[in-house]
Amino acid sequence: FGRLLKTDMDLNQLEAFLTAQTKKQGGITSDQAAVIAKFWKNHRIKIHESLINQSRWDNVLKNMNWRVDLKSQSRHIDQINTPVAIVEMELGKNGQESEFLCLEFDEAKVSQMLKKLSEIEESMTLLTQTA
Amino acid sequence: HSVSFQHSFFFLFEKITQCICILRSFFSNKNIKWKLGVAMSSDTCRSLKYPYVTVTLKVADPSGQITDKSFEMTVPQFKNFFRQFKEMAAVLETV
Repeated sequence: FGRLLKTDMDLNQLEAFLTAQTKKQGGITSDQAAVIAKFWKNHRIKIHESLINQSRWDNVLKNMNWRVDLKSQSRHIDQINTPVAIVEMELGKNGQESEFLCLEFDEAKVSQMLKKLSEIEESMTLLTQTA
Repeated sequence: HSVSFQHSFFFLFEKITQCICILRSFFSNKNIKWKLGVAMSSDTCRSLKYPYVTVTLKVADPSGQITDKSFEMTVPQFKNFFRQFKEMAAVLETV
């Protein structure tokens, strides 16, 4: 299995690899090969995801909640009755307690965020196209 | 009676201290930074090949102290993040 995990074989590679193993002396039988192939097919994605999670040791975004409030009182008159989004982000590292970030976004700040997120999406699309 | 009050007090206290509320965060375009990367390989898996985006926000707490908060998102997490902000914008417009 070590080899399978380390290289994250796709199904064609797997078939070739298992066939080679059955032909080897002291290797696996074709029945065993079939079982391994079935297991890998069913669990490959979950296993890959689990391996990915093991390599993420910086803060990840675990969860995000938000609501929109209407500011009814303010030091500045022009801020009365302005809608504002309150966003709570749960950040955390593997196996450590989460940190909760509470941020306030008015319309302008949400626009700025959307602009940046569009830039990211653009780059992501380019990346997956060329991959 | 007093023991259960203590329990709920400490429970609530713990929850509050776990929540670092930074209201009044100031953003300008310089204060949202991002980086798109692809993790190729690691000690546990030679063939990772997963793209991820790291976002850094400059946030200010009520005392004015400014800190950087960074976090990573996979592609599906990012898509959800983006969708949430679009929904937020729509709601802010209609309120």
